[in-house]
Amino acid sequence: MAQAKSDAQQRQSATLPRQMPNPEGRQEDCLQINYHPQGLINLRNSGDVSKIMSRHFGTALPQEANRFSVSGDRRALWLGPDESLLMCADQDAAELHRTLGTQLTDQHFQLTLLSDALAVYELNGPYVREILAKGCALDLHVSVFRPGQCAQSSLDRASVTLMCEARNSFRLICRTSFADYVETWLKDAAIEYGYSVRNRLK
Amino acid sequence: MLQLNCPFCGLRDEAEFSCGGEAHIARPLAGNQLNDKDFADYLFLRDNPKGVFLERWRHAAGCRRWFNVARHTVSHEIIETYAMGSLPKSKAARQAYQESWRRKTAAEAASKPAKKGKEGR
Repeated sequence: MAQAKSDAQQRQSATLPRQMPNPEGRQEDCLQINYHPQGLINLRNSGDVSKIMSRHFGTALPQEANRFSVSGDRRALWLGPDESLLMCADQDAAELHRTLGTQLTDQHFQLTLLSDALAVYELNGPYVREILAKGCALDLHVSVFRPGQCAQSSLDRASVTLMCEARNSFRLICRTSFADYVETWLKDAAIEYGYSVRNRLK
Repeated sequence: MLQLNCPFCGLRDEAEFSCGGEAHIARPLAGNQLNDKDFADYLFLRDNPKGVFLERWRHAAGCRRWFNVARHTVSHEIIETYAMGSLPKSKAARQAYQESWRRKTAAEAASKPAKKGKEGR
């Protein structure tokens, strides 16, 4: 007989079920939580890399603070005046890391592969802003936090980066070591609207 | 709860920031001729005014960049936030900068390269 896992072994997120129906039966109001493995590369640079990025990444780095630029499944996020986060398909990350490393050699730069260090969640649902606002001090109103904007902040004390993809669609990036905590928090915050977890961090 | 205006990210909650203490403490250059008292004042003595105070803050949970804040320690009014390496622009904060005891110290004088004489050029 398989032995039950001890409390210490059990993931915190397992204390809440993977699905919680909307209490009033409106399944369309549920929050969809989907762990989505992404290739992530941190880029720090001081010079102008717009040509190299456009040619080899697909999109230039965003010019404005707290914005991200999009090209297909690729995203380039502003993290600081000399720092960006590049997001691509999980299987492309190593190749992209090599390519950019060889293209940027005449620049003062640093490229770090972070695919395993950070976890990306896709959050969809009409109440996603209300749910995130329970633990985040950012102004998440539709008129303020608009598609194409991203922000680094904290979600109930865990450092997160939020990306607004569309009105009701967000991406949340957190440290992998915090993913279980963040997932539990999201599920707990979404109980009143219902939720379903489609994919989980293994 | 305070809100601080990060020069990069805009208005954010105080919980995202960490305070780095007094700003504008210039490090004496190598080879300075400071005596122990002057060096100890530079190293250990920190201001604690009742009024306008110039501080360094870091947007720890955001862009992780340092910047300066002019804050009134009684009312907690944020008078100004300005970039690292620059001086405040508002009248109250400029006055606080100029009237600080630190402006007259030997340590601050020793933080600037000595002016070259005409013969040296």
